[in-house]
Amino acid sequence: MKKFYWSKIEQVTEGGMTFYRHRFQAYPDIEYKGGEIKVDAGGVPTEKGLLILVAAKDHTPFEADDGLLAIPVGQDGLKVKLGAIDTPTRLDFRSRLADFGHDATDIEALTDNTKSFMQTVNDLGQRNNPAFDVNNFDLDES
Amino acid sequence: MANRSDNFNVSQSLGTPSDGGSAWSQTSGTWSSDGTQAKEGGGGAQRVCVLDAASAVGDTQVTVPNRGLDNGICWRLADDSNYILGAYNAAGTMKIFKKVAGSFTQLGITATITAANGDVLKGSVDASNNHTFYQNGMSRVTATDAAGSTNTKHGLRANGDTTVRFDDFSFTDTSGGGGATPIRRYSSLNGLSAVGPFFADPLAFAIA
Repeated sequence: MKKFYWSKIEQVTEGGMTFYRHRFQAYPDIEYKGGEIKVDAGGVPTEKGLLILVAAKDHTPFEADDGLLAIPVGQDGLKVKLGAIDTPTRLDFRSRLADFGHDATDIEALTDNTKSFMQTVNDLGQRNNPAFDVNNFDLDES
Repeated sequence: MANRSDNFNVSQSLGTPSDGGSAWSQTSGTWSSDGTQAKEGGGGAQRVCVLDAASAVGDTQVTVPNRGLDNGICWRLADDSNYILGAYNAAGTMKIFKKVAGSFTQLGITATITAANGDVLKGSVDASNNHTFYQNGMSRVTATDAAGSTNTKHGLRANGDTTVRFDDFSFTDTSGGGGATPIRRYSSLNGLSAVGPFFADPLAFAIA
């Protein structure tokens, strides 16, 4: 099963080396589709997270990670409008975005009920990669 | 555009390499050869030493006779604050970072490996900014990032460890084509194997 995640960008120190990464990079050897973190001229990431697509049989460990926000619908559900999903799921999605550091205006823009998840995913993807298009972004599973 | 190399068979503070080309630039740290291998003697963090190849596209390779704790190679270096790093940790990880204005950001996955003295490290980058970090010819990490895309210096990296030794450094200019094709490695958690050019097109990736 494939799932989109908004993977939180964090600064960590490992082995005496301080660096920025997105949360999913803490899981070694697991492939994902996602591009790279955009940084400003000072080397500081410009965004709160990086949109990634993960193919895994078991997403349980990722869904339990506070640094990984699963997009509530799968690829097949991207045309669903945010207003069409159940209220607790929608509110949790908004709450988790706040936990990532998004302000109220940004959360409102990302989770407007009239938007489809495809629009939200494109918005998140284009933050690090302006050329991002969810229709050209996929993993093949076997 | 030029290939570069050094066998470190002259005992010296790293200066003129065995290829007779332009001298090593000890960007940070104190680098020398004992007549067979190179080392960084200061023991500070994130020390790099590079040769200028007048090309930003190619394969940077070195043998690590003594892996110590933390070493690696760097490519596309502009200065001590701006380069691509292939970090090879003897505890068993390989990662690629971009260093921009002094700050490191990880690129691609974290790969777990079994490190051994004598490992050959190679960092490849092509004209489309596809980076691949190899251990003994096996692709471990790939990423696509344009940071430092015009920088033409490539070399060695030590991190707080004076026991690390390097031998047989080379940079092979592939700007005329013929670079290695990135081959994916496994994905352990979900049991999928992954093969194929990765991020050659950042929006087209296949797990087979």
